Amino acid sequence: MEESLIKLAASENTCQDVPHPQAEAPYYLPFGDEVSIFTQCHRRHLAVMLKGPTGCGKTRFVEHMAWRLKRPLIIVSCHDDLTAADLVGRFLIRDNATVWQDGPLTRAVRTGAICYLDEVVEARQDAIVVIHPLTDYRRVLPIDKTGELIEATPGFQLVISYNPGYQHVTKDLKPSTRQRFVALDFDFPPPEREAEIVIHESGAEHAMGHDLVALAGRIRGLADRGLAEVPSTRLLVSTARLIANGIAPRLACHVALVSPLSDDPALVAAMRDLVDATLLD
Amino acid sequence: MAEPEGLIIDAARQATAFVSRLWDNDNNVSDNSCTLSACRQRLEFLLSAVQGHAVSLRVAQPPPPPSALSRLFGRIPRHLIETRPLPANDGATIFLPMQLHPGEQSELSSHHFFRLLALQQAGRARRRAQQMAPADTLLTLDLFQLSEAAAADHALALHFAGLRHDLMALRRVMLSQRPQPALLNPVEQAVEELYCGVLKACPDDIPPPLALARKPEDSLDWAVEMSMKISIRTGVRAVRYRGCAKDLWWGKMLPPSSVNQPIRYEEALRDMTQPSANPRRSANLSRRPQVREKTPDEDDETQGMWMVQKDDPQQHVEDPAGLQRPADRDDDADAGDLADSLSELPEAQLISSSKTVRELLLADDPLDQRTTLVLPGKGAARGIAYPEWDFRVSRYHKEAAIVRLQPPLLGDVAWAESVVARRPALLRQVQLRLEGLRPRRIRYHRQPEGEEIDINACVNAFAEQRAGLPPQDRLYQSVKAARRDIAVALLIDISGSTDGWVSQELRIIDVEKEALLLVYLALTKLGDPFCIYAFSGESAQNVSLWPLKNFEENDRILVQRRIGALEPQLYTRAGAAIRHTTNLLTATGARYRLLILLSDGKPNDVDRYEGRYGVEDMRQAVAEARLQAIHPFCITVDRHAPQYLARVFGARHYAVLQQAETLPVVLADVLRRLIRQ
Repeated sequence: MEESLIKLAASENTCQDVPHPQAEAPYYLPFGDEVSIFTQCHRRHLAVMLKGPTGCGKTRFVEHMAWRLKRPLIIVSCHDDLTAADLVGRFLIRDNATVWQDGPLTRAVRTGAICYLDEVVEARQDAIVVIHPLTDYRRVLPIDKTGELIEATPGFQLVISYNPGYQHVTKDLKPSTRQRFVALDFDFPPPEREAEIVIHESGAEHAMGHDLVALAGRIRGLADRGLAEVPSTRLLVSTARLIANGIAPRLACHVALVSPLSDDPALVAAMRDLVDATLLD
Repeated sequence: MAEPEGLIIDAARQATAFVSRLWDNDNNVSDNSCTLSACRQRLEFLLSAVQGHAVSLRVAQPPPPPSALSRLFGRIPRHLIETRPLPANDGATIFLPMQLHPGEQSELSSHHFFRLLALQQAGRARRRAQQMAPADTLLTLDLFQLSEAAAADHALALHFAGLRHDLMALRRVMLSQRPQPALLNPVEQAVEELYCGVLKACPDDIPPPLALARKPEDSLDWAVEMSMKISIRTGVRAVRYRGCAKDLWWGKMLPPSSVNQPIRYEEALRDMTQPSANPRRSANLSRRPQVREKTPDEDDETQGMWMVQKDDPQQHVEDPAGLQRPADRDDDADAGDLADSLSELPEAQLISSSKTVRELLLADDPLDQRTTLVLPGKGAARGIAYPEWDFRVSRYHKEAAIVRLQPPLLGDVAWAESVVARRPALLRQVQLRLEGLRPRRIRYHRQPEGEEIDINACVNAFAEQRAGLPPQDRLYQSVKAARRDIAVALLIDISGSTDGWVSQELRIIDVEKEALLLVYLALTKLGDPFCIYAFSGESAQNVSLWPLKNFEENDRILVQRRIGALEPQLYTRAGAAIRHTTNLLTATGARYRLLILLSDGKPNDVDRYEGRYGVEDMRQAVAEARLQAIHPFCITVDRHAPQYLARVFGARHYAVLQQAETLPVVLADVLRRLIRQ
């Protein structure tokens, strides 16, 4: 009786909560061959690792590819308390019965979705090891709690993202994990493309988009001089949105671009000087 | 009735008082917020961002006072005598005056003024016009500089729209300071007209007959053509062009910077060991003479025709042979007098000596460091051989460098106490930063035994049992201090270059020592094993390492005295020192191992270790450390470090200190960032 209950619950939750791609394509401007490589990886059942600084378009790329490949997309933001059970699933007590609840990874494996583990190094080691059998020729997910061995549905693909910039001694991807992925390197786009992205995403004027990108390029030059994080494309888009909504350009840059980046008075002052020199109010 | 003599003396006294009042009014120094030092760091950041690499900003030196002889022979008209330092660049470094005149700040705030001058000079430096500068006539040179400056301004206005207003204001201020046309001869008037035309125009316009010079070659062509035209138009070939009055806008184009070669000492080691009998004297230099490079025919046996000296000889400052200055023979010589005399020299030859320093003359713009000091005691210890990487043949030289462990000297006990007493706030800051790293108490879930029941685990176990799985026994939770398996090694560069001054009373080595002491005191409280080593040395056979604290050592007073005794030594053979420290760290068996290098510049030594060889060997040593699962990190005060450290340590594995005084806090921050789990 209990076994049938479990199976019923499992088959029930296979089709719930899996976001399907939107009708409209998420905006993404390719910088190289990443779209065709990703498509081939999907076709050949290869897992993909996206490497790159924060805010350069990794998540948007995955959304775009899910739409292009017409696959549902499950995104898991990893944190340092994420255990294997959070990915695979656990037993829950419901109405005087025990039900197995699939985790996001299991759901993706069953439905043939793209499973995107964002910032995967943040997760605990036991959580990362769970994905190993899914990323080689076996493509299976063993669930020890239920004794199931789920074979991945053909459309399933595992994608992880990883920011090599964060330097924690104790946090890095193990070589045995890294070697299971095809790695795509992301970086901030070249100025013309970045301007195009900023203009499209924010609705700002053409000249303003170009000015903001030129400004960001100069601020990125300070990366070696004590600036821990350089302005990302995402930060530029938020700034441009403020400007497009009527905030004065210099003020918008001060609050949305300069202040979030650093607390060092001299660095902030120098960046404000750059803003004042580059933009007209 | 007063005596005529008394009347004359009284009149002279009154006149002197009047002139000195006038002089004081002219030279009244505005408050510190209006000087370059107030915004120097901020401007350096700005320039780095604009240029894309580290740019050093220095104080422009005032021009030397013209001597009576040079006025007589040179016939310099009054309006052409330079009275103040002008902004300048030598293609790599940017020089700005220390302060502005009060009248100049009416249209622009002093910070805006400095910002504009810095960006202007940076724009001109980027054009690399120095190499193209014509040397034939002064007229062509001035026209070339005018065209280059106008082109740089045009680019500035184009790329930095926000600066257009400031540029216009600067041009207006400069226009109001131009000399009377009556003082100029026809050729000079023609140049002055061109210059005023530029000052009157908008910065994004180039007023004809000037044309926009895309590159310095265009400026050169235009300058040659224009000087011909001016000569023809004025029609009087005999009129000599004496120059155009230079101002803040025009600035100066310095010859390309020459690279200073470090000096080698071989014969002078013995001089260093003798303690100085006389106390050091010090004084401030109002301006520093330029370093005069030796001309090729300077030491010719036969004397040429041009022996007339235009500048007043300063015999109590310089010795023509460069062997012994007059002040060296006089123990009572006043350092202030010497500084005044030296300030009046336009240029002086730089002579390095290994002798003890007799006077310290402090200038706003000190020379680049190239001195090294030697202490006795080398070769005293048994050596440990390490290989060295030769990038030219891509292989190791076996046993190429010998590391010798030296017994550390013991300093004064009171030094450590005085530092702690002097810098309580800094110590507190360092402690606060490291306090968060103390092994915290962590709650362990799902334990087979413990003080409390883990409710989550019980619910899970209950559910799983209901689902028919075997019962769980991990139902408890407990709180224990987390065990962190970390070992830290601090490696300190005490090469001769740490003798450089970072402020009036602190040298780099002093800052390093204070930082070491404060971080040592804070680290001992954490309980993680750590060691501190200082290194320097001369030649591959003598890489000296001083163990200031071993992993197992706990004697606080002893370690403090060892840190207190550190003094600048010889060269930086970093590769061998890193390899030795790597070995020590590997032996600890800790899971996470950090190697932090405090350095003040590129690796160098007396032999081939200079330049790329040293950098590549250091890079290889760091790569070896990484293979041993050690995390290397470098903190440096060298502003040019990003050019080579990124290759050696990898991006984000090094930090460049903007102000050396912040070393203790930065060191604590780096430790915190690396250790935090």
